[in-house]
Amino acid sequence: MTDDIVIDIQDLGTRFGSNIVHEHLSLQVKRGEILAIVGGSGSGKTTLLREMVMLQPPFAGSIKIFGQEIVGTHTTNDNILRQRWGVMFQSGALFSGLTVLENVCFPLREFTHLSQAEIEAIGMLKINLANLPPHSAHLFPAELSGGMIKRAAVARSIAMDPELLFVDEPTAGLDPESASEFDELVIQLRASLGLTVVIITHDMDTLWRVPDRVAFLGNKKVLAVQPVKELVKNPEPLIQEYFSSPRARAAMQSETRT
Amino acid sequence: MSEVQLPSFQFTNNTLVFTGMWCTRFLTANILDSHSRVFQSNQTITLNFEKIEGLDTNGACLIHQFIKQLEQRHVTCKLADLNDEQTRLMQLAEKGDELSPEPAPEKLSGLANIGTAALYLKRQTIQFTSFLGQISEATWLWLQHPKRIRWTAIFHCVDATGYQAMGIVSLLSFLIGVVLCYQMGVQLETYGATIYVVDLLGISILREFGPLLTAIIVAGRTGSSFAAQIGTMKLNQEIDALNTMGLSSTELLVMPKISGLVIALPLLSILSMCAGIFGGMIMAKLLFSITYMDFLDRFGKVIELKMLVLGMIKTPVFAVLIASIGCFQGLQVTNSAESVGKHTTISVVHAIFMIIVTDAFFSIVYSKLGL
Repeated sequence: MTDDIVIDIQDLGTRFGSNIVHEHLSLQVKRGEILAIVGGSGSGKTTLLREMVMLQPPFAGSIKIFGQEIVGTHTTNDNILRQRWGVMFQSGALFSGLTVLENVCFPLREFTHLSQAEIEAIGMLKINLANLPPHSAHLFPAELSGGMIKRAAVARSIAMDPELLFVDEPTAGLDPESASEFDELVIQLRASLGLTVVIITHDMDTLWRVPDRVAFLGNKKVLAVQPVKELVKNPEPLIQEYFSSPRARAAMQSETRT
Repeated sequence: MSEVQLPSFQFTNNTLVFTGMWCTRFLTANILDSHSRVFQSNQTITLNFEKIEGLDTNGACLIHQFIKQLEQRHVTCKLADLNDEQTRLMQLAEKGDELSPEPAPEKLSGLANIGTAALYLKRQTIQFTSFLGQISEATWLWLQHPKRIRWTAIFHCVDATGYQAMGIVSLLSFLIGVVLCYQMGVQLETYGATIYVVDLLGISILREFGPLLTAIIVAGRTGSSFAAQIGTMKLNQEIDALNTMGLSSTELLVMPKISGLVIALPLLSILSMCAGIFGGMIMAKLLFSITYMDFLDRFGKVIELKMLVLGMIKTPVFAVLIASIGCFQGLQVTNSAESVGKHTTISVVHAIFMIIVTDAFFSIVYSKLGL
């Protein structure tokens, strides 16, 4: 049943000049799951994300999202497809000239025919869903803390009620408490909005708590897609190396203890 | 693909039946509002979800807002025939309830605007004065310890603001020379005194047009680039990084730019003068048959060296103005991309304004001194 596969990547190839980033990379994301993408620095995680959201065309291969091919095709449907997913960028990418509420309302104002009052009501709902305090609605991004910027970015990415959410390094630069709160937020949003989530992360704690499956990128392809408990036992040397760092061990121990 | 049913509803026997897709993409403004007035107070109505084809949080939010409006008018609503998914979404929509948007700060009235602008101007003046103080301090430091002078940065600046601006400055000055020669020559021709075009061209270009035109071009080209560069660095916290290392951003960023431009602008002005005179010379030959030899011969006789000196004295002053205003506006940038744009614009406007005011000031001083 193709309906259960939201993203279907086949034989993807990416290169920058003579530098080959991906070669024959294949990956499927199922509806309703949280999939984490991990891998060492330079393994092309962010590039893969940019290709999935049509910011960058791959060199070869095919990416189907909701059954629609997005490589090498430019149709009028592209923008409708873009409205079916939300993207949260690593640094938030909030529009610095707009308040948080205006940021969240921005896609609604551009793409729907709702009245101002209705848009603001929806905006406040999304701000609340992202666990932002209500008074933050009228603050500008520069007045927010790091954790609040990420929450505001999530609120904006779910404004259009997407079915699919891409999250790039959500916990990078957050204190442990905000990071755990953010992990909870992703789990909570998945449950309440029925989202499919693709997360790129380096955070070992996130990796143990949030995703259903983890895709490990290495040697220009996906080496394994497994739940994290099975992934750490994978004999592949690159994976073993990745999970044998002291931080990875600490996260694993604290998780297996609880 | 089958036709999508737009969100709609029917109202019969105190029951509101929702139909169609209540999803973000299909929602339109005020679908429910027009009907909220038909209900009477203390009425109880049933909202039936049986025929709804799709619902997402945004649709649920609108329905929830509608229910809230009705409750304010004492109409009681009952929800009926929801499936689990819809129950969950309606509960989720209630979460938005606890808060309402706070009003954005009010716009100031006319008089208050003037007051705010005056205070802003006062603050800017104080800050700019203190900035000039920092520059003077750094200059004194450099003069005392010449080893501290950052020659690489200075010559990088000379390259970017001087060498690379040579093309545009000479082209524009050449054209101004052509235009001046034509306009003045035509007037002089009526008196049969076309040779005097050499005097006029020489004096006006050496004393005024050369330095002024170059300064204005450089203010647009370089002042704005200084403001944008330093502004972006400020946004990126690079200025803060320098300060925490105990390094002075004035000495590292501002001083090389000012010194570089103080070297580059006089050189560019000379180029501009040459190009302007050259343009005039060609025009004089073409229109008024003044040969190049005649032109240069007369130029040497009537134009004193004083003219060049009086023009050139202004150029370092213009350079300091352009660079310091550009850098100052860059440092005024606060935390948004919009602010970079605003201060870049201000830097060019202020620089050109100050150049023209200073030029007028020089004219007054020169005439008082009888030069």
